Amino acid sequence: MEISLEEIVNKAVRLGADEAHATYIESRGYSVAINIGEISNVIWRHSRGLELIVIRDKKIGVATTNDLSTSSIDDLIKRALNMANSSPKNPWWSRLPEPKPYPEVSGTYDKRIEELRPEEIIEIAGTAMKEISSYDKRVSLRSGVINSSISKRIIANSNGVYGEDKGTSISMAFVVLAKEKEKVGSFAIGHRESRNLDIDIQELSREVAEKALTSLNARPVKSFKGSLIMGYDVAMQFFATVVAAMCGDNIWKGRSPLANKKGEVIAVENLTIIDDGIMPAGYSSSKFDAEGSPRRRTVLIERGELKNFLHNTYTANILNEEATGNASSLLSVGPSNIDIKPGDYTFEELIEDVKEGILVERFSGHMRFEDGLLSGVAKQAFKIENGKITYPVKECMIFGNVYQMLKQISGMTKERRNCYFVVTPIVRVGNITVVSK
Amino acid sequence: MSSIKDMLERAVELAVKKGASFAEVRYENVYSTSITIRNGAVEASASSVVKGLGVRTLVNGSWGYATIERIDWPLIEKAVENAYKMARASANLRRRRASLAEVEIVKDKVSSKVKIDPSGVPIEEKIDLFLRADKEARKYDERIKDSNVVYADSVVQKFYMNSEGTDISMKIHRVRYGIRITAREGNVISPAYEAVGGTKGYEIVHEKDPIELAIKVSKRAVDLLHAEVPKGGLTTAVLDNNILALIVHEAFGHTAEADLVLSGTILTNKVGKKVASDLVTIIDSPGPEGAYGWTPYDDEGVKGRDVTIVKNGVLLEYMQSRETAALMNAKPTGNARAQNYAYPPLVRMRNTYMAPGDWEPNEIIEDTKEGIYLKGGIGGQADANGEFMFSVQEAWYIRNGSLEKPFRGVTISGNAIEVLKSVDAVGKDLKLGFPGICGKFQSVPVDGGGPHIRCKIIVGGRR
Repeated sequence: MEISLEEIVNKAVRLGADEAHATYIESRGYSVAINIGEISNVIWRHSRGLELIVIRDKKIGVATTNDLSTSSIDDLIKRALNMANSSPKNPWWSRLPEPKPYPEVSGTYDKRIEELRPEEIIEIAGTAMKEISSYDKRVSLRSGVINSSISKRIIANSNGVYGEDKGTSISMAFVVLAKEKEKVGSFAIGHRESRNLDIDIQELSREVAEKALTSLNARPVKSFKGSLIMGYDVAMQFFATVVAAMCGDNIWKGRSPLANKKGEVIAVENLTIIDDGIMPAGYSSSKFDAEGSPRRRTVLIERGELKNFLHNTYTANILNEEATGNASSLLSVGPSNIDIKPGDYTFEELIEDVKEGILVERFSGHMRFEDGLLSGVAKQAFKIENGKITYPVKECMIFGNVYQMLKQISGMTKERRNCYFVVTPIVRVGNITVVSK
Repeated sequence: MSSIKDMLERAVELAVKKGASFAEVRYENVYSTSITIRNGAVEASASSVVKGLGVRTLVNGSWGYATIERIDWPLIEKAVENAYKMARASANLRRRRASLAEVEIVKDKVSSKVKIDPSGVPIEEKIDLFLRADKEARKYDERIKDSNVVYADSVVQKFYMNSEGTDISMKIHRVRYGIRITAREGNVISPAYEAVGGTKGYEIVHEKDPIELAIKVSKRAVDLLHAEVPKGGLTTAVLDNNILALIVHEAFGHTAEADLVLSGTILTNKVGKKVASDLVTIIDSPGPEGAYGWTPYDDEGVKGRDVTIVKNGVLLEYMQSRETAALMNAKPTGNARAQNYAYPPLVRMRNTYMAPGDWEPNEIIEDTKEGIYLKGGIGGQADANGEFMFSVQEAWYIRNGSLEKPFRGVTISGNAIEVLKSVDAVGKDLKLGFPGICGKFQSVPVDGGGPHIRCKIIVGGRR
C-alpha cells in the first residue's frame, strides 16, 4: 500500500468526516482439502483488505476494498462518506476510542508457520491419512481440511489510536467414517486449532478414528430424564451461548435475560468464567480489539455470581460501564477467549456417579441465549447406565434450558481442551430430557 | 479490461508451459452494497469492492489452487508457480488421478438483464425505503418485538479462461432483501420470515414492494401468537411451494451432489432405482434467467444444462463437476460453483425444484380428510443420509377438506426419501423465487421451488 493508514484517516477527515477509523488486514497461507480419502485440493491464499468507517454528524458510513491502488483508496473514502451522508443519525453514537497502551501478548506468532512450505502441509495431510487408515481397517478418512495462515492487522483512527499486530494459526478438522461389513456406518468429527506449529497430528488422527469406531452399531434409546455429559464441542457451544448473553450489545438491545442480573448468583459455585483476550497462545488473543482498544481479562462469572458484561466503547458509553476490549466491530461486541475454570473430576469419576445419562459429543440444533432454549439432535452420543458407558446411541433429541443448566452443573473435569475460542472441561449437568427420535 | 484478459491468457499459457495438463484462471470484481436494519436503526450498512484472481492447475492428476487480489504480473506469475508446485507435490499422495470430463470449448459473453442498475440507485434511497418497511412492520402491532430487515445488491464481473480455449465473460447483477419479524405475547414467541431476490436489478423492489411484504410478515407473526402447538406424529401433510423448496434443496438436493454421493449419501449407487413416488420429478436447472441462482456457465466454464435428478420417482442423475463426471462416466452438468475468486469450485446446486403435476392446489386441501397444511420454512438442518428437521412458519389443521385452526411452533422431521415416496398429489402451481444463500464450506446464491404437494411427514410441536 502506497499510503499509510494514518494518511487515509487524515484524508477522510479533511474531506468532511468528523471522525474516521481504518483497518487493514493482510493474510496468506495454505489449505489442504481432503475429500473421499484423497487430497482434493491444495490452496495458497494471499489477500489484503481495507475497511474505512467515517462518522459525520453521528451518521456512520462503512466502505471496504481489497484494491489498494491510490485511485481505489480515493474511491473508498468517497464511498464511505457517501454511505455516511446517506444514513440516518445514530443517536447513540458518542466517540471513537482514545489511544491507550497495548499489552504484550505471547505465543501468537510462530515463525515456523510463516515459513511452512506447501510440501510440509501436504505431508501433514499425508500423515493424517496414513494414521487413520492404518488405525483399523474399518475406518477411513472421508474428508478433512488443514489450514495454516499468517496475518497482519493494522488499525488507526482520527483520535490517534494506532496499532499493529501479527499472528499465525494452524487448524485441522477430519471426518472419519467407520463401517463394519453391511452394517450402517458411523462417523466422527475431530478438530484442533493452535497459534503454533504444535498440533499432534497422530494423536488427533487416532482420537477421531477411535471416536468413529465407538459409534458403530448405534442403538435407539428410550426417552428418559437424566444426566447430560457435554463433550468438549458441546460444552463449547453451551458456554459460547451463555457468554453471548453477556455481550453489551445484546444487553443494551433487550435481547439478554441476564441484563438485570449483575451481582446475582446465576450458576453453581464451581463455575468461574473469564474472557481473556491476552491468554498466551489463545485462539482469539491479540493486542487490541476491532476498534483498537487494548485486549484484557474480564471476569464474567465468579463462583457462580454474574460479575461483569463485555463491552466496546460504544456499548460502554450507552450503559455507563467500562469498555473491556471486546469490540467485534465499532458497534458490536464479542468474546475473545472464553476460559472456564477446571473442575475436580477425572472423566471416569464424572461418569461413575451417573445412574442414567447420556454423553453427547456432537449436537446440532438450537442453543439460544435470548431465552435459553436448548433443543436439537444429539448426533454422536453414548448411553450411560450405573456409572458405565453402555452403548452408542442413534440420533435422539435433547431438550433443556441453558440458564437452568448453569444451576444444574453437577461436575466438570480437571482436564480441559482448547475448542476454538473456548477453553473448556467436559461438563455434567443433571436433569435433561432425552427423547428418542 | 483487455490488459486483464491478456494477463489471464498469459497465466494459463505459463501454467501449461510449466507442465500442467490443464489450467484455468478466474478473475472477478464485485461491487456490492448491504444494509441491515434492526428495530428501527441501521445496524450496519457497507459498500464493498472485492477483486481478485484464482489459478487452478492439474498436474499429474492432482490439483493446486492459488489466489491473489492484485492484477500484477509478478504476483500472478508467483500464483501460477505456487499452484503448479502444490499440484505436483500432492500428486504422489493421490491414489487416483483426477481427470476431467470432456466439454465443449466455449467463447461467450453473457449478462443478466437489468432494468434498473442497483449501482445507479443512491444509497440514501435504499436506506430510506427499507427503514420505512421496518417502521411499517413494527407499527403493525405492539406485540411485534423484533424486526430485522436486510438488503443486499451486487454486480459481479467474471472472466474465465482455460487451457482448452474456453473464454467466457459474465456480468451478473443480484438484488435480494429479507424480512424477519418476531412477535411476542406472554411466553409465546412467534417468528415469521420472507425473502425476495433474483439476478435482476433494483426493479425487484417495485415488483415486490418491501413495505407491503413487511406488513404481510408482521401479520403472520402476530396471527401465529394465538395458534396452538400441534400434537406430534406421522401426519398427512399438504406442503406449500415455500416449504417444499426447502425440503427439495436442503433435505434432498445435497444428497444428489456428486462429490457427496462419492463420499456416501442416501442416493449413492441408486441410479435407476425408485427413490420417490411416481408423481415426483425433481430438477436442478441453470435458470431461468432472473432466478437468484442463475448460472448460465459454471466456474469451470461449463454451459449449464438441466439435471433431471429424479423423473417419475426414479433417480436418473447427479449434479456434477468435470472431475466427478469423469469419475462417474457421466455427462457434465455445469454445477461447479465457487463463492468467489478466492475459492476453487465445488459441486453446488443452482435452482432446484419439483416439477408440477395435475392437481389444483386448493383441490389437494379439499381432498384431504384429516391432516396439516404447512407453509414456509424458517431454518433447520439435514444430513447426507436424508434425515432432516425443519421449523415451519405457518400451519393449519385440515379437517374434511377445510382449514380449521392454525398451529404454531411446528417442526417437521424424517427422512427425505421416505417423505418423497409418500407423495400422492402434486399441484400444477410451480413457483420459483425462494432465494437463499447455501453454505457448504463456501456460500453461493441459490433458488428453488415447486408446487403444492401432499405427503406423509413427521410433525412435531415446540412451545
